[in-house]
Amino acid sequence: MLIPGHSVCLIVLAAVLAAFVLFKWRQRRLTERLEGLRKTMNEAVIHDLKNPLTSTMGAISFLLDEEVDTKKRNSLLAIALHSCRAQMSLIETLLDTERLEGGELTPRLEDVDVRAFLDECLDGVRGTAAHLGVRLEECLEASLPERVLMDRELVERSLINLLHNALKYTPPAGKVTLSAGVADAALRVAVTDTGAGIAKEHIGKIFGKYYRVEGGDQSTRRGSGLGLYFCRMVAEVHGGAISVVSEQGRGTTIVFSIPKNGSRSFPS
Amino acid sequence: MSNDERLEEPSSQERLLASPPRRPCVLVVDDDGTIRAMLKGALARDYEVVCLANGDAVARAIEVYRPQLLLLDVNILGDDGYEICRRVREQARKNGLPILFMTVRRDDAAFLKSLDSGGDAFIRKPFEIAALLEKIDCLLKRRF
Repeated sequence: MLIPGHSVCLIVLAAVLAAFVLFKWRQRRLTERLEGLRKTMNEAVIHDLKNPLTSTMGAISFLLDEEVDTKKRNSLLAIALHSCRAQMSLIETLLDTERLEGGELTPRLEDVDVRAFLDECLDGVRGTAAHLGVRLEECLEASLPERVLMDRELVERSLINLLHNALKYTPPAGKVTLSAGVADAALRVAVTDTGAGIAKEHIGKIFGKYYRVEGGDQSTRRGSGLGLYFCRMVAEVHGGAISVVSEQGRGTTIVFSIPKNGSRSFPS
Repeated sequence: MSNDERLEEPSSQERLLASPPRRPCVLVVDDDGTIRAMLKGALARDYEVVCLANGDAVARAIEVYRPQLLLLDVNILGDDGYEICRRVREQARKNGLPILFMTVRRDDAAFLKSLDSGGDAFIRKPFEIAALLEKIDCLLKRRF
């Protein structure tokens, strides 16, 4: 026969044990989810590295095996170089995302000539746009300041990332527009495409880490899911913000804003 | 803009579909413009290469060009390579057209899925052109 005090002890012990088992179960599930996420992320990054590697390896192996004229050689070397740059850009994004998250990378602000800077960003994707048969346009408002304080390298990579993304989702004969102006003391750069648009259920999630919009089949998803997250982090370390407006069947606009005076107090 | 790039524009695609090529033809479907350009350059010595950026006009291109081989990427935006393959496999069989998949995946599941959707073989990305030519040659020799 149990003494009442012992019963209480047993109940407490059972409760503690149950809490411990629940804790362990939750911990295991979290570990499994993290492992799944890590695997997904690895697959996506590997895919994004292998695709440009296909162009590089194909072009170089062909040039080693065949005698070709200068024009063709240069054309294949340009393909190989373009693909190497794509791989380099992904590697830099991976490394910088980690550094931004860890607070190890802070923006090095410099005084930048905005118009020339935006032209350079567009020049960086003209080759891709021509390949894809997509028209590129620039629309700069009169209010655009001459110079803005920013980390030139980080912002350039973000805008090129947004432009590449827009080009990727725009069908041939479509249009991608880079527009810029000032609102609420912030430089606002918008990238608009005439692609398929983003479904409502994805809108709030696209700036999340490793978030990818495409189909449910793991084997056919595209992109590492880091590009837009990286752009968001760059905007935020400048004290800025990033937002999206999209309509299915009509296209998407992503607005990247940073304070024009380089202040980090700009509300995000 | 070159004829090759025009192929990716639907309107121009239609125009070009009106004039079938004379040399053996490889129909390439890959949404990566750089890979299309590379394949176009590397296969052009032996084949007429027709490139498409997505699966929309594949059935029509098979009718008009009568290609000897369909080189199909798995990872295409919109309808993926498996879906495109399923859509045209009957037409491909009727025309004796082998389908060669390209994929970055190395697992058996990807291989089985490519066979299941109607593919005849697959090559793993990245590859050397000599390996691709060998695969194409092998498939064309046992063309049914």
